[in-house]
Amino acid sequence: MAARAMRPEDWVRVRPEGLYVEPGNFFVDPGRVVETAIITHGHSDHARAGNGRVAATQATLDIMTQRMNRKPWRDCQALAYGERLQVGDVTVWLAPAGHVLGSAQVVLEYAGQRVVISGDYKRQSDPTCAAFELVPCDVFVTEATFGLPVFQHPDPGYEVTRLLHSREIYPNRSVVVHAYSLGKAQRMLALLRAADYQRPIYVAPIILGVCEIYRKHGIDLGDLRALDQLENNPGSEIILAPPSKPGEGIVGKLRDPLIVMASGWMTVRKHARGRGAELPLVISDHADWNELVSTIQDLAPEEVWVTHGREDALILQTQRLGIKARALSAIGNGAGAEQ
Amino acid sequence: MRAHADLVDRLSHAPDKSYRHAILVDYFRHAPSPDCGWVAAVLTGEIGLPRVGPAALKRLAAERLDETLFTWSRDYVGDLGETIALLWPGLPGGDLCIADVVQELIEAEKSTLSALVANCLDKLDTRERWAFLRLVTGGPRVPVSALEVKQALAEFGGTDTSAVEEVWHSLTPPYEPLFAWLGGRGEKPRTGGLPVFHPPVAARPIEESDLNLIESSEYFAEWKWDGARVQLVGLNGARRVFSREGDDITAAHSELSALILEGTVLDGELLASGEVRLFDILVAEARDLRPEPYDNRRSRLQSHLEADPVLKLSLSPLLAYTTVDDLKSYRSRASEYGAIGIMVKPRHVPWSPREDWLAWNIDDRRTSAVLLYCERMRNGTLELTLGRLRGNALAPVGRVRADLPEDEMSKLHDWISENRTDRFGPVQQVRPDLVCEVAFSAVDTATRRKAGLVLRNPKLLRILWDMPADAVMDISELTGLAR
Repeated sequence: MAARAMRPEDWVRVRPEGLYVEPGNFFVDPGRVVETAIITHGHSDHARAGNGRVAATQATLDIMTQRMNRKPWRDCQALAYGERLQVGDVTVWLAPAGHVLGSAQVVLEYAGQRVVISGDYKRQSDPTCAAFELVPCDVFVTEATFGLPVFQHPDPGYEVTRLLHSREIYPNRSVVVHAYSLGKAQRMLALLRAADYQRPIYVAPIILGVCEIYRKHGIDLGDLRALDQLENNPGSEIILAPPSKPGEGIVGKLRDPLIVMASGWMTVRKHARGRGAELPLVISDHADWNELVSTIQDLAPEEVWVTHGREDALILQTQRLGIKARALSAIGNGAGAEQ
Repeated sequence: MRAHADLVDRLSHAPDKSYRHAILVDYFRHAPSPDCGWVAAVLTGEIGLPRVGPAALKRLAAERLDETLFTWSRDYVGDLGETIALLWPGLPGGDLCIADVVQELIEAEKSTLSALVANCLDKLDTRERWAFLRLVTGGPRVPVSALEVKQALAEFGGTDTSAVEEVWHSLTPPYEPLFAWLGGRGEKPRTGGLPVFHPPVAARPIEESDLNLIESSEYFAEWKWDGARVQLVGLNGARRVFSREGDDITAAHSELSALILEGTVLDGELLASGEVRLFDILVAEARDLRPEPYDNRRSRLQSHLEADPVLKLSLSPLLAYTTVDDLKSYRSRASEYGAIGIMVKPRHVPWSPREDWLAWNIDDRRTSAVLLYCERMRNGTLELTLGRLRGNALAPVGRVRADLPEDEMSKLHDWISENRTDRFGPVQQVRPDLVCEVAFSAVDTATRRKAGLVLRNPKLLRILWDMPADAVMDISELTGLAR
């Protein structure tokens, strides 16, 4: 067999456990328990409990420790952004992803090649986490949660203005904002404070716990109160709670609350209707279509692997830029078998 | 157009009338004139805007948007206008004002309409584009009635709805003197006494607790007619026919308007026969009767009709009763009289826009029918065509939306894919083996249909998975009910 240059898919590929980096014998964001894992951020579809050795940012490790019932790992190692770690033959370092506090892109260097795994990321400004950094690379593994051009996120400041305007329309209705407890909730709080809303904000216990981690990492979110401090007739106070079924949780106990949902999915009206949002706000911690495409343009890598969402449209658009693109799920299925 | 887009977006998600009211009042408080006037005119349907059909929208999309990405996006979003609103390469928005947009649309020539639409889309942000496309596609615009808009205007101006109606009908869009008055910046405009809509007494469904209160000394009972509520107004030398919501429908009912006497406002139900059954009189001989109790108004109505009998206008008779059981018995026989139930009205209270009248409709009937076709709609819902056997052939008797719990829906989808016999575009034909139970309000004769009849207001109740289809096949049971 003729000798040929090593390709990135010869050393990074998909295995049932997750994305596998062979020369370092470790996984990135594995879906099943493995010996060695690099974790991009604390959301439960990326960070799972029970792995042997785990490396992530300190904030991500803090978040995992708080959110997991059982011991999250056997050993862990905190990595500052930019700090190099040698794992087997691979040099690993983390770069900010701008998704939530502690979120990182994983940079892998081996045999003169560099592969960057974006994890979840966004380019919109967000005072609650370090801003996304462009890391030039040979292969960019991108998320594609909002990988259709219909997803173009508006200015979140204007969305919050609409939320605050609801308090004028309904002076006697409490405002329940449904937002994920890690990331979105803190972003909403920061946006409300930036819009000069200085009243106490009432938050569900799970959100309060995460806010405490944010506070330790220097993110001040103003006067936060536990839900049990809410008076019987809360007027138009703002309440933050994770999404729940109608009539359940805190929402079930309030009389006539205004249900606000903050999510990129709210772009499409059928999603807003389906989730019972009376005021859908398009505020997302994921890159929208324009950010996905412009990031690829800015990086101009040799190749893009697309994962985690709607792949087809982003692959097509990347190929139109003259950059090779394919679905991550196709990597390693036979392609890496050539030795 | 930001405030307008925000208004339309909020209204479209508001779960009920009281919230829509608050949203409208807030809009009128903040919107500058003449924006607010044009928006009020659009919401009430007072001005007709030119319509851009789906074919023209698709052409615009083809000219300006990437074909593959557009197709994929539309498959995902479902709605054509919404897809274009989301994909169109626009600007941050906020610059175009709704007053200019509406006036340009009114003046647009058919030949330049598409270019105007594209030009507007270019200057709007996503939410504005969506609201704008709803303006020009003429679909279901916003779930508010003309009456709700005027009630909101009345609250904004701290006056009553009748006063708003009166001024409204004496002006044309954008009603600047009206808004100046409501906003405290001007005098009440002089109206010149044009005939205006007077909000009639509203009705609500009767509740169990109401039954204990009903006594014939306190309440009148009448048939609830199967028709459309109309108001006949003859004031200051002009005659108008208004719908329940205050829409001027005189043009469609010119024969009726010719019968209206000067100085009267009559409230009644227009039947399919063209006859009007009258039950209230709000103005007689140019005198406002609304402060008088309903008892008196009915007497006035009766003498009014006796003084000037007209074939097409008749008094809705009172139903004599002593006990609630008598009312139940009337109700059970309502359909024999062309009624859909009975109305119970307090005798001694003056007119008010509150829901004072009680409607006691007959229960829906139930029947079963066999599933013939399924059609997946653009909005993702599934429509089912149900049929019965007439002679040797299966004939459709009605179409219902499959609105079932999630597990029943997935069972239904599985059944359809296993029993599909043919496909015509989005329509799938299935083996006629599945029995559905439906509720309906009546059976209408329909000579041009294969079944000779059609169910009115059919609603799917449940799927009878174990019922054999041949047990319900024959149509004769329904034919007996048809009228």
